[in-house]
Amino acid sequence: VPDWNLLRPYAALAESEIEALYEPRPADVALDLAGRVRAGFGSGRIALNGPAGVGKSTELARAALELRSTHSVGVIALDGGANTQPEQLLWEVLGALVPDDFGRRDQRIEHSIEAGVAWALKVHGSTRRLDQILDTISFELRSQAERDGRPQVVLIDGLERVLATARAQELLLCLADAVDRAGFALVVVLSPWAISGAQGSVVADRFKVLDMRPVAGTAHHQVAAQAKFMLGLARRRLGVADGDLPLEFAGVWGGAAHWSGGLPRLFLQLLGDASAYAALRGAHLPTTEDLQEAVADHRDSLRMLLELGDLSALNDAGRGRVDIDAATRARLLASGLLLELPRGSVKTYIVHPLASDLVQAARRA
Amino acid sequence: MSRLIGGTGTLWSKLGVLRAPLVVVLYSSDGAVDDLTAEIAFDTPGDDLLLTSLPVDLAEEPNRPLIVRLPLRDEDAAVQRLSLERDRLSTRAAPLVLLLQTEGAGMRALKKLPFLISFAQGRIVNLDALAVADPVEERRTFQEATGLTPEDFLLQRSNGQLPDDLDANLWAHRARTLVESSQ
Repeated sequence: VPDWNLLRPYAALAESEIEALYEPRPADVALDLAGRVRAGFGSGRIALNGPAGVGKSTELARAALELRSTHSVGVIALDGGANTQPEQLLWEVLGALVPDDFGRRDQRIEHSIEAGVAWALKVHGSTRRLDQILDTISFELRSQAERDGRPQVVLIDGLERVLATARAQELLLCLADAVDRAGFALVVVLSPWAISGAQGSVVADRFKVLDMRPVAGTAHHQVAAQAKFMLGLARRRLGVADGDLPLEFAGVWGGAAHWSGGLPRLFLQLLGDASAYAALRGAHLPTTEDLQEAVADHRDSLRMLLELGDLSALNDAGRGRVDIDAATRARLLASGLLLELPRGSVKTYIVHPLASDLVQAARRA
Repeated sequence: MSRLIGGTGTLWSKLGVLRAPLVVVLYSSDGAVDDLTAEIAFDTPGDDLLLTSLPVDLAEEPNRPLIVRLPLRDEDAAVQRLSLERDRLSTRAAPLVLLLQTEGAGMRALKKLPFLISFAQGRIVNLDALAVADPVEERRTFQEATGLTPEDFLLQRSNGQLPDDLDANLWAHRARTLVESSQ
């Protein structure tokens, strides 16, 4: 009997868990990302972009692990709101790559920044402390790279969460400047919603955006690849081998894979919820009926999140009309209600399977 | 209609099993939410943390549901703050239950935070919809799940024959709701 709590839909894999729990995606995002970092893609300024639950944090962790063979790697997970301002974030970048010798590093750098501010004031009559911080930190990072004898890369997870509350444009410009001055490579995790609006132009100007797409598609081989990936994902997390799950369970994971729209978190949530419904019946394994209960809950939730006009926008986008309002499209893409898939060199849009029913009901009405 | 909706008793019994870090309950009247919080407090005295405002330490008491009702003027800021702390939610075994006004600032803010919504996916419940419970179907599912009628469940519980844990508390709440609705 699997322990369904091991599915952990809300936990991205940590680097230390990659070897045991990572399931490779049909299109290898992490290796592609690592390769691009090594090749100097985007002059070292890369934004990994994708909808919520698509697996950005897990792929970032795997890319970090891969890059450790060639680079000095610093990983920053933004959480808790303590590091939302440009000055604080620069400090974190420094801390991720330059070891602190019992607090002496910070003291030395503070002193250097103050001296720089005083000097610039004397010569130019004015200065910005942020510029001095950038100068000093860049100098420290370059010195560290010389000592290490290998290139540096910093990976920042959760930046999209910070942009909503921070001085977003200044923060992004500041990070891009730090890359240019100090010469390290930077990967930040963003979402379609985070790169729309006022800061969108900064991202477009200073970062090369790498889109991460759901494991989905309409062609037969894509559907098969999706089911194989999702089953592998569930098996690894549950720690069960091929033959350990009864055959009749195939309908449940196949159904969960379909309803997930290719978003791994949603797949794990649906499977976990179906197993909880089974537990309410006193059963250990979920049935397709349990899955339908879970799907109904998710559909009800989605309905409450829609804004006026969303269903009509989804209907238009699903029928190939992409001239919907940019902010609406960014929000729908970020939440995964609208999925962007490549078809050859053009982008196509499909409506998420959970939202598709709502769109059809609205169309009928 | 999903089984998550089907009376407050059903809701709380599901939350005991559906492991999730974040649940959003929408309400449109103060009366409805007062009734709900009173029911929760009545059912789980001293067991649950009934809080009135964020911020809270999300890592504290990860096995107890945190029930948070916000003053309306704080909804927006509290949801924004929660979005920054999203990853701390993932360490919780019991959910943070956020009570938000249906058309309020908190819900408007939430709609613009897809990365936070994805943690509440499948668990956004409209309290108004709970009023449309089907008592007959409710009784049947209760009996299926516990092996007892609601009346027998409450009797055995008052005789101390059932464990005194969160799960039993949640089922007791549901039993009481069913017994009352059939009177």
